[in-house]
Amino acid sequence: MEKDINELKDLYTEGKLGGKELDDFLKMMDDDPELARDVKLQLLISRTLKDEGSFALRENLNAIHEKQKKKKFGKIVPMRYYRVAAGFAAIIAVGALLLFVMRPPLNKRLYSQYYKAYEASYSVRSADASGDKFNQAMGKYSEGNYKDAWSMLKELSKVDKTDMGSFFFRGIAAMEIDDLDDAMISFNAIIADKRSLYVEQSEWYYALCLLKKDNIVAARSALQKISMDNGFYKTSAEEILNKLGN
Amino acid sequence: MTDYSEEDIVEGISHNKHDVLEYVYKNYFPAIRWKLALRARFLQEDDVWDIFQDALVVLYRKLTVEKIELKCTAKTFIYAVCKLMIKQRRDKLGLIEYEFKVVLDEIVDPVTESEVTEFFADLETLNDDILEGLIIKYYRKLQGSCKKILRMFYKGSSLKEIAEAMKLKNEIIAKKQKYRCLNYLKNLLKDDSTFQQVEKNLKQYGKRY
Repeated sequence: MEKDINELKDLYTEGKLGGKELDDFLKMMDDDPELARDVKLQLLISRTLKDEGSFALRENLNAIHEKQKKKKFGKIVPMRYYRVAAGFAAIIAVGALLLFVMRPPLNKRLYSQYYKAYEASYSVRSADASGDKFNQAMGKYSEGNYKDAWSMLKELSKVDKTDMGSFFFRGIAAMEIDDLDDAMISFNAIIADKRSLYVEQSEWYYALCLLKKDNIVAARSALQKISMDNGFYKTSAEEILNKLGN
Repeated sequence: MTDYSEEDIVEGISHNKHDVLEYVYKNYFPAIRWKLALRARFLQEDDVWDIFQDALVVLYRKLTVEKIELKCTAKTFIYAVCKLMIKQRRDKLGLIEYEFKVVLDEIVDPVTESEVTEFFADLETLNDDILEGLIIKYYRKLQGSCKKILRMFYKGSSLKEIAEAMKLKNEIIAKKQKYRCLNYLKNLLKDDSTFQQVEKNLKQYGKRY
């Protein structure tokens, strides 16, 4: 009795089709891309459901995820909703601009109000004779020579990617010389490493970078995360959010 | 929380150890979630989780099936695979060109990425890994009887055994039921936007048979 197409798909995906039947089936797939697509998918389904190890791993991971997400994370609000909100904010901003033509935009004013270079807690001198490059860089930083500090810290953070101190002060120095892209890259290197002492500070300065870059939507999202985390910058983050409006 | 050594982490992932996986989840997942949450316009909770989970399964397979020896940390490997997977899903995540580049740069630097990509003879296989993740996702959404029939079939049970276990009249009914479940699963997948995106990435199906 001639086999139906479903049977042929089963036999093919289970490697049980041979001889002329296999040749004919391969030709059918060559002539019919939709059939080829369907068979490819069936092959993957077969492989996936047979893979006990990966299946068990996914079950385990899902159980962990379900448990943790209820506890730890807030819900991610899709950016499109923020964009709608941002649209309304833009309309309001236009009105405000008519009244306050000479004033800088709100985000820039908030940035100036809340940004303050992080104070180095290191006791350093620019003429540090120890040869310790980090100390030398921090000497420049403390003097307010952010340009030199930035290039030295950038070199250090390139050499040792675990040196979160270099990454952090490189980020602040970059903000001071208005290289916000580099600042964001530096802070992100720290945020990715949850063990760092600078995670909380980096999240704060990262949000300020977004604010200054006119990326209000992302800034708002970053500030909301800071607010939810109940850390040192919670109050400031909430103040900015309030001032930005809903 | 217990701190695990790199060796413990690799061993724990290979052996599906719950406490190690929980540690990996708590320490590695938030950063990826955070970076994407800031950038992706159409992001849903599930997208980030799917990416992270698929990356962990890729590592698990590399360790258990291909028996690779990691040249970087498990964390770097997972982040680099996440990065590669984000590339495959970029349209779905709604990343515009600038944001896309920034997200990728933020996740892991190019040097470590190349350390990881050398473990992939063909990066196109990552598309299959994404599809496998989707298969499990939709498989979970099937009715209990469909799940059982498909699992039994792919574990090698005969149609007769399936008919008996499911209290179906005979093998012919079991066979029909199996096709119905399989086709339903396929249709769910074909309607999924990530599936369609990944399909576009796989340029020519025909050549792969």
